[in-house]
Amino acid sequence: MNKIKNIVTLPSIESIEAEAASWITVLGREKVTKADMSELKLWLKQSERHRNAFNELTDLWDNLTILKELDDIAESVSTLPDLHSIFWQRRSFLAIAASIFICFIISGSLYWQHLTEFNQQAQLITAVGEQRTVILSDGSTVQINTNSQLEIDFSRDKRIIRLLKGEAYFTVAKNKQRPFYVYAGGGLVQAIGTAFNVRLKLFDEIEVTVEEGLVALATLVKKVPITSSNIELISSSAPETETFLAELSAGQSTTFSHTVEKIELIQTPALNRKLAWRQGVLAYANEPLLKVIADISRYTNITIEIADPSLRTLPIAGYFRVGEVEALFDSLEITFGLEVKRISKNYVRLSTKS
Amino acid sequence: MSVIMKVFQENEIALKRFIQRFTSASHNVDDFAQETFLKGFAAELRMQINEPKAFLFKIAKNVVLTEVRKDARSPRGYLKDIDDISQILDENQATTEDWLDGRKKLILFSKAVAQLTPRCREAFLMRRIDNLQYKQIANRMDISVSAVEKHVTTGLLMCNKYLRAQGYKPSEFGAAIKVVKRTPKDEYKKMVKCDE
Repeated sequence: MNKIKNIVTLPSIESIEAEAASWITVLGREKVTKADMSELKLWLKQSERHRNAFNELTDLWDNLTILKELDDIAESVSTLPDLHSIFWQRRSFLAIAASIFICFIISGSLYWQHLTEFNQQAQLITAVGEQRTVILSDGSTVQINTNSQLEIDFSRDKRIIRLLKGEAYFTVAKNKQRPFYVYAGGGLVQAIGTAFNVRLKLFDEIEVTVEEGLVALATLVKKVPITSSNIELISSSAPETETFLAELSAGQSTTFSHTVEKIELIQTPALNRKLAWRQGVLAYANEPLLKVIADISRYTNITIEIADPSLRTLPIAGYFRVGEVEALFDSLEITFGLEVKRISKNYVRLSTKS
Repeated sequence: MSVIMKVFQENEIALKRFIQRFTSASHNVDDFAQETFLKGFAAELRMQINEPKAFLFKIAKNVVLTEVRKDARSPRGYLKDIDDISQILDENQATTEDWLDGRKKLILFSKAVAQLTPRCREAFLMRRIDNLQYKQIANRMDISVSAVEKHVTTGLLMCNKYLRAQGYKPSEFGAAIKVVKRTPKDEYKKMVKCDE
């Protein structure tokens, strides 16, 4: 700090500002000593210009609190849908609808146990709120989250999983001779001896989170234009070109469809929260209510409406058991002070308590 | 300077032209561009961005389409010509303006922070956004506590300098926390929301 007491020349505004800024930094220390405080008082007494500089920078420092909003904005960007996909969303919806229909027909003739040592074909479906774990013929494990649907198609030289809907966590048994692929939406995830989570989101976006090992991501482009006559072909085995996009390693997560624009590095606590569904728990650390409700809605048939727009950003922290929606409503009412109004058996409206 | 800010500045004209393709004359292209920067910068702070240019264009498209869609959905579109309603809306314009002011402030401050050097910005934001103690920041950045304090001090000074160069005085921003009162306009917005 300014220890020189007998300054002849007037200090420039810049040096006064620099000193004021360092004082503000000092005041931000965990412990501010009495000596610091009395020195600051002396410093402020020097002139009006000192006091002005100090006040001005303190105001600025306080005003900069607004930057905290950047976190919420970053959150909204990370869930941003790929708008390109909206245009073919309708067509792909048809394709999926058709493929589900076909699957229903086929599933009658499918057996759940594996047919030979290598081959395994099966269709796994979970209802809303249901979770299940299945051990596959190769020793890999798949944990399936609520409202999901996947197809297993194992052959001698390949292990293929198609995630048609929802979310699943894969713990892959190592086998270099039989690569493990997960197809989801317009993308492909190749596991390289690893544990990872794949979630098919709106607009055919695929969210991949890796807990162990390494995965490679690719995008698929169908060569054949989709028409009503070849839809069946397309949904199952149309020729596709794969374009390698990126590699993800442990602790990384991304959402992609045609391109990988950003890869998020996830700290362990956030990673654990993201994958907490596997323990039947949903965990949140100050996520906005809008996101929490969107998430919880995946596990229940109850429609939850946030009536008050200002509530959408309300930060929510806590653990909720999957399937215990009532407990969530209770805690929103008691802990967060919201009004939870049951409009009908399957419709709940959240609003600010009036 | 942050990568997003650099790429934004390099492509600002192209971005605005791109935005113009989706908007009508009633929209302010510059506002959309600024909003795009803001979102890009916010994202940059929290994740690794591989293709900043493509990323910014994607955000721009999203920003514009969200806004255009909102306009198309809002009953205000139908009510525009009815004098009574527009008067009611005008009387309560204050909250929207408050919001806009807040947004402008956020964009301006983000730019101020974006022009800091990466290490300085990192330390400054860990202090200002994450409320970390200097010691915690020092540990994370693997530098000394006094180096952290230096970064934080420099950060504040440089932000101040940037704002002054842009023609703003920190004192003009007034108090940091504004209590926004609920106005009939909010009630109106709530109504609109329910209708959606």
